[in-house]
Amino acid sequence: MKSASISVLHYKGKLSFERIGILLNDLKNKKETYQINPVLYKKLLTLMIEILENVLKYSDHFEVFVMHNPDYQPEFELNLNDAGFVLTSRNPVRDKDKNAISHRIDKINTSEVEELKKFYRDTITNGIFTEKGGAGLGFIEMAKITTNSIVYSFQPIMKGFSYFELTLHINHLGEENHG
Amino acid sequence: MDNLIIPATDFTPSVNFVIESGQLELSGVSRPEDVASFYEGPLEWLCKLEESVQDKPEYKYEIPELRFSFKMTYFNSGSSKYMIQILRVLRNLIRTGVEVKIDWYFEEGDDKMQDDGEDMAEAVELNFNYIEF
Repeated sequence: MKSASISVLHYKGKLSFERIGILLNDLKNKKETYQINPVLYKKLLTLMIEILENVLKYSDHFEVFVMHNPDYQPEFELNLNDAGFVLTSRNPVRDKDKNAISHRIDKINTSEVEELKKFYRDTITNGIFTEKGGAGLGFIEMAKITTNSIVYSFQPIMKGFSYFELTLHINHLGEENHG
Repeated sequence: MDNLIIPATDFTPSVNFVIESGQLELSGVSRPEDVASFYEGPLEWLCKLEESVQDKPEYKYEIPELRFSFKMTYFNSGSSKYMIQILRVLRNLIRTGVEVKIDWYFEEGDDKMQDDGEDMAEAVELNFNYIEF
């Protein structure tokens, strides 16, 4: 039986630096209601920043598309279920970027802890920034924090674009999974 | 050299680089809208210090031991790449004979912040002092 899920945060619409600040503030305001301990709060905060800043960084790729297809605005959800918190983002991506995204996430998902640490060290020291000035560390950070696989999918929506869904799971206490 | 003082904002850390005391501190939240632009100032200041020591080796005897404190509440992954650049300059200073100590602060129970420090220290092959506060 599927466990009941409570919506903690939900946003669908244009994303901006200011909007991310508002969403982070919303999380802060929900800390007590959902009894989020300080360690877990810090992890959720970092995950939200990495997810949302990543979507924002590439939003110029789909701004015009979304203007004509408002159903595919970026979306972010934070839900709580019996197992813990679930963070989900959805946004359009260009089909030509799908392989690079899949390759990166698959590499992270199949890495052992030590490999992931090495990947992180190599990436943080390589001095390379993405075309949008990103560090290329976002997905690695997500995997390090959650210690769970990054779940993702692409739903074809129109020629040239797919709707990308990214889901992260983190347990109630923010503790790491072992084994 | 002039000191470099930048007050904190909701999105950027405070920078307190005081050459007379050797106390250099980066403190607070770091998720600047333009991360490259924010870190340009602190990096330039540190590179200038490195150049001063390289141009005039005896300068290292005129400055006190440097103590760099990272007192971060949280930082995004973009910021971490610039913090690595800061650490590289500190490593260069150490190699030129300047005494540099690096303190990495983390809040009680904040394992992630401690881990981040350990990863960075390992990445640049420097020793950090870890201080819980």
